[in-house]
Amino acid sequence: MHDGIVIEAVRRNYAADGQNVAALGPVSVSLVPGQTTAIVGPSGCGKSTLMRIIGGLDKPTAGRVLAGGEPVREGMPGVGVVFQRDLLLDWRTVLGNVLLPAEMRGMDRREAERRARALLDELGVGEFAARRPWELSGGMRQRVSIARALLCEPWLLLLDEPFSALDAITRDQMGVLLQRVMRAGKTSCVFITHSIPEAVLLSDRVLVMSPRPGVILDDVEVDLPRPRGLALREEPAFNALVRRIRTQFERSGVLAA
Amino acid sequence: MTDLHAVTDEDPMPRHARYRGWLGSVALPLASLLGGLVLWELTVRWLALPSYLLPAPSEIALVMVEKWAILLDQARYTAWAAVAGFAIALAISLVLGALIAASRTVERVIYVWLVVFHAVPKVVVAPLLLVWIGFGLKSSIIFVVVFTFFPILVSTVTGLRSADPELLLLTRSMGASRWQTLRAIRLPTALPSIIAGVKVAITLAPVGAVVGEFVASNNGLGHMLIQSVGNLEVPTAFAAVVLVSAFGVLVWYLAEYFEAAVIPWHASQRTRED
Repeated sequence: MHDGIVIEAVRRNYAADGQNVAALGPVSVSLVPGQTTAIVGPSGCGKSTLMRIIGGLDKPTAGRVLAGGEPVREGMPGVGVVFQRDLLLDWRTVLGNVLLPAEMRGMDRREAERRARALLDELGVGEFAARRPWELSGGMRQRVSIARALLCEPWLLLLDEPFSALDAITRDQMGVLLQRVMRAGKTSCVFITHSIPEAVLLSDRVLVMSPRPGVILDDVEVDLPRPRGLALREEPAFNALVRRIRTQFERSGVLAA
Repeated sequence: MTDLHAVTDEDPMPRHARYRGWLGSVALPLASLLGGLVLWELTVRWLALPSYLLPAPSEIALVMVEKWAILLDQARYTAWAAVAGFAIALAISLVLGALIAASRTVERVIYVWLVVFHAVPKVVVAPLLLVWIGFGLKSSIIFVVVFTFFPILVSTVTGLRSADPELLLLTRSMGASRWQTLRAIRLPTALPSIIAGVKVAITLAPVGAVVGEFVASNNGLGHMLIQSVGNLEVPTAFAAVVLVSAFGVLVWYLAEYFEAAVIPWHASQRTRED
């Protein structure tokens, strides 16, 4: 298993219209292995950029990210990514889509297929294994893309607003489902979201980010018992955390008080 | 998935739907063609047009029956030029297209030449081919290549460049090599576009062959066409035109069939979905 991820003074600038715009940072934070860390922040605060930098998919302008003492790099094994769009390939079956990372990594086909089917079952879409993605609803498709991200038993799972394109009911279902498959303790999750309740419901820790250039305003520990159901959202402890995060947003001018 | 076109015994389609299904796909186009032919025939007869101006369809059919052996022979020659030229164009376009799509530098150096080459009025420079390459099949084939490579090339470049950037990021996160990405993502993404280019190009192939035969061949339907026009054997010329067109229609439907077989997953190939 991996040691934690250490983010050291990471900054990211963009060139826009010939100007150098600071999008992110400086951010310094260590992620506890096996924990789910949610990053919440307003649009354009660089939270997706931070997530990509953590996974080695984007290079910081300054600073570095270490995983187990080694700098992270693009394509390192054991990283699963789920985007807002499911990004399923229309020319493959559902099963074929889930097997994509195994093919890219040259994994044993039979073992990969066994695992893929198990994951699809666990996510409640096993019966669609032979179907094509376009025959599935949005929520079903996103389940398939989560199965794809989990195929290689990742030590790091990156979720970039995975439920933002789904309707409210499907979102709730997915939140509960995600907790079940997150391999508690074995996978470190970085979960990007706009939704404060979703962040609190799903994570062990919430990093609250400021508007651009995004820095960490608050680091909130979510010490609520697991497994967490939707009923938790009516609990005072839950609401106290939500309120604390919202207050941060109000202070930074993201939300009107 | 519900297939709205499926006809089942338990749930018979409404009358108008069945009528539209059958008539729409086969009967209506056929009736339209036949109607046009009848109108043509009647017009020629009523106006008593001489056959060197406009032969009646029946007369053309008669010529086709009379001269079927020589017509078929010439058609084979033309078809061979069209197929060979198209195959060469396809190979050139796919390779060049991949190179251009892979590198902006290659694009800047090569693309401009290809565009200029394509913009040159080919029919006008056709006699030059005769000078350079000489009489015969080779000239016709080269003409087909010149006529058909451009649409395939452009569609290949566009197709290979249209892969979703986020999807490419996803495969990079899986440690995919360039080659793996090409096979798993870029090529399948490009296929619908490439096939669209192929469909445009394939109908140009017989045209290219015929133009080639006009100037640089004493064989083929193109040569036959120009010769019979010169001799005022207009029904024979029409017979040649019919065969060239029939060949064009045939390759078009072959391309459609190929398309349905290769990209059944593409939105253009699905029968109406929910």
